[in-house]
Amino acid sequence: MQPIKSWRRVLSVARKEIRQLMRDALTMGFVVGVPAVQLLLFGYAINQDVRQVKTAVVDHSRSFISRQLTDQLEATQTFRITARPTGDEEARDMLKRGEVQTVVIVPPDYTRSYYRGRGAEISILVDAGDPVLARAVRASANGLMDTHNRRLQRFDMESGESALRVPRHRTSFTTEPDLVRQAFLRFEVINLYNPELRTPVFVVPALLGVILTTTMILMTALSIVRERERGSFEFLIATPVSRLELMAGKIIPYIGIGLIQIVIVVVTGLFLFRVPVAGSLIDLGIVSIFFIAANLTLGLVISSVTATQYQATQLSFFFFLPSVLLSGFMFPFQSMPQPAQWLGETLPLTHFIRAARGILLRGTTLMEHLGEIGAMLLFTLIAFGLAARLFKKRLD
Amino acid sequence: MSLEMTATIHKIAEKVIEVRNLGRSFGNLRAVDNLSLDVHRGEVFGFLGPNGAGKSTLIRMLVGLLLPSSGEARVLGLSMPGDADRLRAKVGYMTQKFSLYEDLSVEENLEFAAEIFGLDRWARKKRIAEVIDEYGLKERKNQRPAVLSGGWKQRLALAVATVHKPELLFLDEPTAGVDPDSRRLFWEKLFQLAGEGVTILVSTHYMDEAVRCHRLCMVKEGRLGALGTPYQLMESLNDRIVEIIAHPADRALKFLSQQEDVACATQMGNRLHLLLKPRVPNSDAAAEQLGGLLKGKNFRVKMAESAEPNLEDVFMALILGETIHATD
Repeated sequence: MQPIKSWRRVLSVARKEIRQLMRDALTMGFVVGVPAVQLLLFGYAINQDVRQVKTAVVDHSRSFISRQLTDQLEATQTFRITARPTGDEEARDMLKRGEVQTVVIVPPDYTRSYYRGRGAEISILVDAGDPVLARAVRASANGLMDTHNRRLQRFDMESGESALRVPRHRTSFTTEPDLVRQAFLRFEVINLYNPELRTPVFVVPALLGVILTTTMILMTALSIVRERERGSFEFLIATPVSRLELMAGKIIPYIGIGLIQIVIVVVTGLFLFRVPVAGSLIDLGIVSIFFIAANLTLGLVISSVTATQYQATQLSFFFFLPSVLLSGFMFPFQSMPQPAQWLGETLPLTHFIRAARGILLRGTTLMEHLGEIGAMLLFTLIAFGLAARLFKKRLD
Repeated sequence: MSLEMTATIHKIAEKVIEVRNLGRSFGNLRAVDNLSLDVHRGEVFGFLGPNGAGKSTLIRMLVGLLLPSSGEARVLGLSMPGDADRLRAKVGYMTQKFSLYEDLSVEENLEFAAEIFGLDRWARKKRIAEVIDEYGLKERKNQRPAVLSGGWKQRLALAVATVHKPELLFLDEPTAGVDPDSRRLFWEKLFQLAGEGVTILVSTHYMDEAVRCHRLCMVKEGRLGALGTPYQLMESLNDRIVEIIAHPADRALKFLSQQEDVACATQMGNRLHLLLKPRVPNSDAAAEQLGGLLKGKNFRVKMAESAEPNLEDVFMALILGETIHATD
């Protein structure tokens, strides 16, 4: 293998690459647009905080007390009352047709039971087709009942039985019904680092990695394959530029582009989603460079084994999907099956997400992420070795 | 200086390219088959053959872009493809398909080539100005190749291929699809370079270009069909050509091409140009005989005589399966 003999040649390849990039409006749009659009999409759309669930309330009681209860439900922001049908059947039909996701039924004797302290029963029917939504509704209802029970307890210390009951109403839509008893033992869960459990806080650091993965791999892969497709590859390889010089020159501009994308995502994340920056942004930048290098060398490998831009895109996507699924971006890493975790460990994105979340959310330092950096470095070296072996300055 | 003398001088001249039993297969296709030839310093060496004859494959092997399946090649004393990296700086290569960057301007393409061929800043500046002037690219230096005509593109490609002053140039069908005037200018440039001592290997399928080469190699299906100066190649068909003027010409042509002695008949204006089969002993006799046959069939024959062969005849003979032995 010819070493890098001339940095002038490396730089001339890099400069040429940048010139071409600047003239390619679509690609430049890709560089800036992808991070912005993805961040907005993921930040707002992939929001696991369940809010404003469409709710139908069937209030058989029609009292001040029942009115107060439904107001409180709405105040949790989990429920948004969009309909007030008169009968249970009508409400169930709405649920079936998908007009609402939840039905709250207040029985006729609610007010009486409430005042007598005998335990008032309220049914909540949930379309459990979306488990995340069902769990959230249940949690929110539980929370509200807890508050209620505690308040009632103060008045009915002597009664010893639960004040508010939710009956077992089994329909095909219901989640497991809740039977709320007076709690004698309670676990208190304290959320650290993201007390409000806002998804963007969790998603943005990982999204940084996802965006870099998609753009970096694809751009390097395409930059060489494009030359092959347009015919300039034959001109390029008939010049004295060595393989290493060519590969280095192709990679350098994209390191810069990767850093620009990081700035875009971090700045957007900070202002739009109030993502905390607990650690040092310089540390994040250093980790990112290792991560960018890993992706760029993978792009080189892809470009060495493909002949057309179409093939290169296909192969890149072949790598994106496991990256997104198995890196801990989509699903919590610890709850994945063991083989999936092993596979996940081989992906640079997994390690980057760990380090980025650590630095941004928990304020860890580089020293605490040497393992992740080492893993990304190893990946880079292997991919570079592979690229150097596969990349030929020949046409056959 | 006579052509024969030139040939003799070339025999003792330095060999710039030596090809020995070179072959290259793509699957079952033998693109280049057991080919041997030498190219001498300072000559414009032509490479003539129909499409798919293996011209590009041979050039690519000589530049080190394709691995040979068999045989060996030495270019400027360096063995290919092993020493390809050392060869690069000394040769220029103009690909068959335009291979410069369409999204960089003429000047930027030249700059990139000069940089990558290792010219330092001052040498680069000087050389690019020189090349722009030499190839008349001044008014187009800020344009992108995408908007240039075929002729200008080829001129730019040649400018880029020579920006590092190579001693050997490989040109793969440089003038394909270019108008005659641009082709003429292009060839003027080639001879100017040759005059400066640059060896040029050029492939073409234009006869008028092939005839201008110092020496010529004809290839067919990857094999060497003929090798020599254009004059030698044409001379090998002496006494094989008959020209006839007869009316009506189209029917006469049809009649003549069915005759046993005729290998190939071509109409050129009102002349019928005939290539006789190799076994025919004498073209004067054949002309007389064919004229008689036509008269017997009630054609009005105005002329029937032996004529000079041209390069197209050599090419046709080759296509028809003959082996051409260039006379020394």
